[in-house]
Amino acid sequence: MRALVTGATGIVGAHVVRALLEGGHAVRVLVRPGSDRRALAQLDVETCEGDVLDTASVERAARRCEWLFHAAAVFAYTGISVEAQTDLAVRGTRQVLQAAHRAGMARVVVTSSSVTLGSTATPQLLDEDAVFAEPQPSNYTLSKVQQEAAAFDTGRRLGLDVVSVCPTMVVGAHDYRLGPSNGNLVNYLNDPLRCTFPGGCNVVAAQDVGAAQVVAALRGIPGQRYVAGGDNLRWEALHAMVSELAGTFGPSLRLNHTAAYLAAASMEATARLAGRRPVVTRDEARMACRFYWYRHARLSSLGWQPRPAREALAIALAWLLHRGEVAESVAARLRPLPEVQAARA
Amino acid sequence: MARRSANPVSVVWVLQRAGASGATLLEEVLAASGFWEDVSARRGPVVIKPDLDCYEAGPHAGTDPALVEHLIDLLYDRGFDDVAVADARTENDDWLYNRDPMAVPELVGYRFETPRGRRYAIVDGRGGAAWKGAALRIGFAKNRTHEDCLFALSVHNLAALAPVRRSVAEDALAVLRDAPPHWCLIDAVVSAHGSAGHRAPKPLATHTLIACRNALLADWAAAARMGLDPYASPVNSLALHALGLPPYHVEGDLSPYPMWRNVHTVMAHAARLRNASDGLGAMSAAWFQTVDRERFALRDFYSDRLNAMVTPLLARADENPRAFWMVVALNLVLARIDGFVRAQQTLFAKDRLRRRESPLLMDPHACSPATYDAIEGGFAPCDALLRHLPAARNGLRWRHVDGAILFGNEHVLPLPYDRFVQRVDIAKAIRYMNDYIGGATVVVRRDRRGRALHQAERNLYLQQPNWMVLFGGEVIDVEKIECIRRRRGQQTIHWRTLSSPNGSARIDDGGVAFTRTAEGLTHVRVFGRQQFSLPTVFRLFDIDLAPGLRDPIIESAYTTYFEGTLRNLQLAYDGQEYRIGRDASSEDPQRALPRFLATAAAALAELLREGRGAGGLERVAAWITGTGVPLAPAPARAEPLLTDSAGFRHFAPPAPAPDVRGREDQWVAGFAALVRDAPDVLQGLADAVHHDLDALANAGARE
Repeated sequence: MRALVTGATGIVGAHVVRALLEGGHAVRVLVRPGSDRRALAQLDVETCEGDVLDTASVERAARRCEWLFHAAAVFAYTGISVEAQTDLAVRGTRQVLQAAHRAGMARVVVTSSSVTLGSTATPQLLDEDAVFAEPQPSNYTLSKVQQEAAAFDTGRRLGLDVVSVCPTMVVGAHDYRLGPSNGNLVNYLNDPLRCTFPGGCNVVAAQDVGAAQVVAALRGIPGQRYVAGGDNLRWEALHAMVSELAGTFGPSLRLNHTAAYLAAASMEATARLAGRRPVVTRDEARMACRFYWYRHARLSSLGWQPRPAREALAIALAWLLHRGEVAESVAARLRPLPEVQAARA
Repeated sequence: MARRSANPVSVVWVLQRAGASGATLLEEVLAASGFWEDVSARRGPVVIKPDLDCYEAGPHAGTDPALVEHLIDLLYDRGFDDVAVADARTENDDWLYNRDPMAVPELVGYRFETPRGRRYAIVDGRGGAAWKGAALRIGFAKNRTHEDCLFALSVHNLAALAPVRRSVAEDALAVLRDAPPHWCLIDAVVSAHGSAGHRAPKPLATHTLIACRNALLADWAAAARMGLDPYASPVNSLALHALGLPPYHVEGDLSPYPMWRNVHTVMAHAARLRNASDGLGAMSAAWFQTVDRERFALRDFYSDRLNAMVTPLLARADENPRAFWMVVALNLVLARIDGFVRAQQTLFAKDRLRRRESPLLMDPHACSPATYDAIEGGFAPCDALLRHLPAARNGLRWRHVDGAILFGNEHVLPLPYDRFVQRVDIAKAIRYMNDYIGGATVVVRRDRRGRALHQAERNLYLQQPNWMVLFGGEVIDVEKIECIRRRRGQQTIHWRTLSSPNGSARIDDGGVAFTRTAEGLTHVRVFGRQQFSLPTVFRLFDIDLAPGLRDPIIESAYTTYFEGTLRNLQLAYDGQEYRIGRDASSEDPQRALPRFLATAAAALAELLREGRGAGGLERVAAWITGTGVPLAPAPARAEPLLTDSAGFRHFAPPAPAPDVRGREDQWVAGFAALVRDAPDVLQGLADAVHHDLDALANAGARE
């Protein structure tokens, strides 16, 4: 099979490319001119320059491809307007799907997000049938919800096989733009108080998300969405695991909703006055106080199994420490466990 | 002192002898009062209820354990070998460690065995089962002043034994009615006095013991010796008015103790206002109580710190006027904050109010059946007048009669009458009324089908109109007797108010009628005659002089009341919840303040949003920052132009280093963005606080 991958320079797209290559498929990537392509370095891929918002460039890239993996998105809680984020998600998806239709592709796998399933105030597991009822969705969440709806709607209209993969918190290597998921681990280690939060999340390794997309392309049912998630952890447990793996203390302080919100609000305010990007946003503080816990039974039934959260975190930490994402003064005091060092190797 | 008088009237013995030990005084007063002759016929378990509301050890902190143990020895000497000490405390002290029923007595000096080797049990007195089941019940109170009641003696001490805890006054009355003590002793050998009352008790040797078979009389004498009005304590006042004093005779001296200091009335008033609140009143006990931290550590870090700041002021309140007034001011500020919380809930969040469970204070059986039956006829003249009054556009008929408001309103509900009266019990008509927040009902007489015919009710309603709460208006609290009639095609209830425990109403008589219409629907009529007490602010001017202001207020209040009542009837018919408020136990009232602040933040956010819509916030920001014009959005982050194969990102040449003016512009733009986002930030903060409180409430519920 020949597959076109959009968003291949991001952490999810880069791992989709790797999974496809491992499966013996030919891969073409659509990348923006001047984009950071380190995530694709030394990979045997055909590169097409273009933009998902540029129909002609997508159509060119889609020629002679059987599969499309649409992973292009802006995963950020700040630094982009809601209009731009939604436009890229919705219009970009529609155009990509139309191009796929014109190219006669058999299947489109859209990278959505588990946030489209919603979250809960108390620890509860959600699955693909969950109805989105988020009380205060972030701009990013809204953009993903609209993107998914647009994907299924366009797919139905065009008679295109569309499946959606909803990764949870993706951690791992090749995250050169340092998205919020890996960023959370970095922020935690850089935080002198080692604060944690009352909510919880689901952690999945980036490699597993790449594999999940290929599984969904091979065996997924059109019109279905599939959660690509691993272990469900409270933030406290996740941060304790990070501390243990990195060989450091923490978490030391469990913030409640109010404290987390106030901390994020003051960081945002300070950043605004200084004209720089905030480390943490109020949206992220809100999300950290809720439970983003999911089942992945549907994808498991197709033969996909994620690795344990500990292994996923070890791989991510190995890469983040190697990349120097953690502040030097902090990194100097870390004593990573052998499994982290092994993951780096 | 003379030997016991043969006079049949109740006698209160006040024995004072400087230099005598407490044990000697106890022996003498028991002998002189005829205690032993009186109890000799009683056989079975003895329960002593000492005052254990103590936060430190010492003879002044509570009833002296040495005296209690000496009393146990004396009881053993006379054949009582099953003696227990009941530990139950009136004050809410769950903010402290070591307040379990067994822990407190041990930590303040009870040894489970008297100095003469007589063993005694310490039993959990909560609920009053052990107390009620005892063959001989002895109240052994401490002679002490009290922060807001002025004194806390025998009656106060008994309140902790009530089967169901409500307010101290109601609890004490319930115990006095249900299981009064056979004897009351008051330990005034070393008393606790001072301006701060029980919050910072100070010892004073008064060398006195008081004994009486009647708790009210014992307190009456003890209060007299403090130089106080025996009715000054609301706890004693309620009991005195409900039960009255027996014919009595005093043996001993009633002159005030030398050097005695009572709680200043200003201090008591301020503390009463603070303690009246559900939220801060309960919470602030932890801040105002002097505590021996070695024995009883505070559970909460912040309360501990506040306690360390406030209690030194209390301890100096007698000597230092500045400390005194600071404590008074602190009380008033806390009371005011809580007043705002209650006002906010009354006006905007009624479901957050706590429902009241207030028992009937009057004796419903004291009224004859004829008195109940006469209620309906008693209202007939008013009813006749009402029927001749023209109805306003909203259907309300009203008129002033002897200063009270006579009113009536009616409406046909599109609900079949027969089903309506099956589902909506006319006997509960008052509970369906708008803004009913609690009370109690006692059915006095029933018909052959077990339905109430005569009943007495205590009803509590929110302030009417609700905004009276802003001016210090009280919850309307009235006790009524009611007569219910069920005729073919009509059911009625009429009531007559006998008293208002908090003085909030002078008259509150009326009724409700459900009548079948010709079409088989339900005609509802509510009528009454009411005169409520006005808050002090409203007494400063006579609103009757401005009928143009008064009449719309009255019409609006009664229309709202009637419409709310109709809505509740409809909800009751549909089997839905119609009551306002939440169960008393549903949430920790101590969280009222953060809830209020969060709601205030949300309200401010809403206000600011309106300003933002009109561009007002930008103008404010521009004015503050001195730019005079609305501000530009924050600059966007620089995007790389190119990333080469080695991963290096290439950016456009940077702009020249910003000069001072440039930095100012950036700051101004950031500030403007902050101002613009202020409503969202406040709203988010309010939501976060509510989430935390919900989480705490859920955690509490799980526990």
